[in-house]
Amino acid sequence: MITLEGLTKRYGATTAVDSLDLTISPGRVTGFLGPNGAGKSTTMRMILGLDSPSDGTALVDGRPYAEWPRPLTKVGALLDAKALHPRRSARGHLVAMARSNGVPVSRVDEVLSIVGLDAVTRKRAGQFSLGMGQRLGIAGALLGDPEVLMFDEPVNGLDPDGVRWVRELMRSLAAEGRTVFVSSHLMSEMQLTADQLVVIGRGRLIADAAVGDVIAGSSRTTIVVRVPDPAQLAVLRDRLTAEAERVETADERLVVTGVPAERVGDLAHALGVRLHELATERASLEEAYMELTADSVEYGVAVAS
Amino acid sequence: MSAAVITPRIIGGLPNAVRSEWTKLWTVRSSWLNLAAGVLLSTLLGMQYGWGLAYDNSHLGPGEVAEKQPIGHFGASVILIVQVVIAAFALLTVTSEYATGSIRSTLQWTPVRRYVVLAKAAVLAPVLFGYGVVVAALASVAGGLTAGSWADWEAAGFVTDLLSVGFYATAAGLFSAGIAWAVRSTAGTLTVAFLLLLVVPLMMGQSSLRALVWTSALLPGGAGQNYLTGATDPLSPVLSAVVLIAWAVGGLALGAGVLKRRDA
Repeated sequence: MITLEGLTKRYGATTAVDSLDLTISPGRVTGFLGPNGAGKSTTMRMILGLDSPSDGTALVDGRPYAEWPRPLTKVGALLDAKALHPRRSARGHLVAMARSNGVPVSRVDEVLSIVGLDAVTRKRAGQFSLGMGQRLGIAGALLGDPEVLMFDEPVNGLDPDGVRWVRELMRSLAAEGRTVFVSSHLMSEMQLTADQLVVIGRGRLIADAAVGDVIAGSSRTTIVVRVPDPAQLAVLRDRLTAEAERVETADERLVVTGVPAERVGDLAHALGVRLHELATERASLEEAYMELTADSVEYGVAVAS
Repeated sequence: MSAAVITPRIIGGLPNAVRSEWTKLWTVRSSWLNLAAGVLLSTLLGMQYGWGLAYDNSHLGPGEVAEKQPIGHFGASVILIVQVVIAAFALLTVTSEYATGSIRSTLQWTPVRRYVVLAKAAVLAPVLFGYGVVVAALASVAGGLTAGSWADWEAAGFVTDLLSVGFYATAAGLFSAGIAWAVRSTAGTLTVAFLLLLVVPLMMGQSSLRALVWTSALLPGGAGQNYLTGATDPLSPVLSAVVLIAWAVGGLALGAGVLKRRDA
């Protein structure tokens, strides 16, 4: 479990992370989303003690990362796959890593085979492709068999097979009861991988909710109801206007936001309104995300209206 | 992932960090290349000094007397130049981490930052000592062979000279590694080490001004030269050794202080 309390990072006048309060729980994949410059990487770096917070605390199972005697057995993290000596072999890199935390060297060969790099263990890490580098980074994260895993953009540079492999790996790690905290820009991927979503913008928490709730809460998720009789349409519309966020009329259809389909169906039944169609049009996570972060895009592009 | 069983070999951040640094030192080629360069350079310089001695002794000016030289002195002379290579060996273990970004991995593995500085120093110290002894031995033997009959192969003095060079290489190397944590770039650290170990003491030590002689004796390079030549003015060899230890410890303390405060 990762606990952030009032976590803040300031660089001069700029506040990169602004009093973040957050609990990332075990047993599920928590997606960490936000526009570029929102403070995702800085937050992850503070959890690992690479950057020190200006204020607040970041704890892993109740203690700062640096206070765990063998931290790699507590938290495995892939923040930057390029943070290694390019002329050291993949195996040499992992052996040095294992020794730093008293992990048996036999575990190195295990994780190399888990990530599918067994054939290139002698190859220098600097000659790895982007995707192989990511796999080596993931091998490092798994090395200490940790309870908590953090990945910053893990599918960056992976081919479709690799993307799918990472997705299944995350799901299985969470299923084993581990805490999995993963940032990504690929919303379609997050929609498939994550259970819980944490969205930040300009260093502040925007949302911390289950993926389903984020999507359901979007104004892009709508109920479409078709009523052939114009009089009945008007009755239902007036009734729905009282409790929905928004009701729009288009020909013989009502497009309703903020009321679940069950409620619309029950109301129609109670009012004796004859329906020809009742459907939910779900927003994609991408649409829900764009709506959430619309106000906090750091490097926004003006859209011609 | 299958449930992996991981049993710790050693509990303790510092011993683990030392093992990791030992592995890191020998799994990059630059360490080996540096050793090869140091060995080659010191052998060649030793030969040159031996020939130089033989030439001087067989081409004496009026009033000059030919003198035999203990072979250990070749080693002590050669280290004056080769120390730059040895300093590079030590400081590269730090600056290469900043150049490649691997420092972020190192600090993730060992988040207690003073352990990282201590572990590197603990690995470097015996290696630097051995490096200094080997380099001095090669230079001494090479110089002794080329000097021919002018070489004095007395064993006890030779061993003392070798151990002295080993001590100096350790102190100069640890000092260089210490300041590398503060400077971070290879070129910058090499410049500082080159100035303090070689250039400034060499310039000031020749001065007739006492203040400059003293300044030189208190800088690491000057203290090293005085220590290795057994000079007693202005400081005794023991005090010169104390000055060297102070620079090594001070450099490492500075490095640890800077690393602790700075974001990786």
